Amino acid sequence: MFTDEKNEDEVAGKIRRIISEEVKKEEKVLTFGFDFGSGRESATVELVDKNYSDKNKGEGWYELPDKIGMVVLYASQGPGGTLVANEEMKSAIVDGGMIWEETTAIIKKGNNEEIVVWVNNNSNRGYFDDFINVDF
Amino acid sequence: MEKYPKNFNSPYDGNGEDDEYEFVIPSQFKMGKEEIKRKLGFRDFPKRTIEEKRGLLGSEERVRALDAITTTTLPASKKEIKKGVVLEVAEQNLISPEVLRNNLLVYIGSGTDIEYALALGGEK
Repeated sequence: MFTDEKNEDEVAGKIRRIISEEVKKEEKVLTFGFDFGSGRESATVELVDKNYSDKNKGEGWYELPDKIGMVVLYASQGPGGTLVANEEMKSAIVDGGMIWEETTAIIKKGNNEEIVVWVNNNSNRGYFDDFINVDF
Repeated sequence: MEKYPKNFNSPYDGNGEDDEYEFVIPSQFKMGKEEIKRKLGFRDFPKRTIEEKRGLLGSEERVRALDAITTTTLPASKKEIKKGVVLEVAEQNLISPEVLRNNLLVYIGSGTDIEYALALGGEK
């Protein structure tokens, strides 16, 4: 994705349209001001042109950093297939952190996990309707 | 007594013979439809006014990020799930703003979906 500079520019352009200000770009790091609810703060986005897999490691593959607050997985198909939450991610997120994979989230609470399922019946009609319609 | 596919844990053989059998559902799994819906989170997301969105997200810029969320690789209806989830994360305080203020948000995907990260409050 980010081996192509036009995709980097697309990200910067999206941010620029939201904040109506310029975005500073150095190599693959974007820096800009953003109001998250407490006034303008400095935000950074690092664009990484690597694939991630919990099985393939080493050169050219993305290593998850430590102390992640949240992992967001969307349309995350890659060489290893569609990516879902795995033990490596669960280890890397901090207490109170979350892994969000499309319609499901896993929240880390100490040594436990809380699972939240979000489903919209308009887009998931079929599988879930079949399940719901089982009359016990 | 309910009928279920015989080999529901293995690929369906498609020959149409002996593909169903009956079994009793253990009592701990007997739930009413409403309870199943609740456990699955099976529902539509509520429509929110601009004021409600602003109240939940805390800033105009986060609302603009939310409104910019789109989808290119999934059905268009999934866009509403994404937006609904962002608001619900904020409404239910599912993740503390401090967790996102002090730690990284890592997005792994095949698009340039920076809007989620910003709408969710990911600063890094």
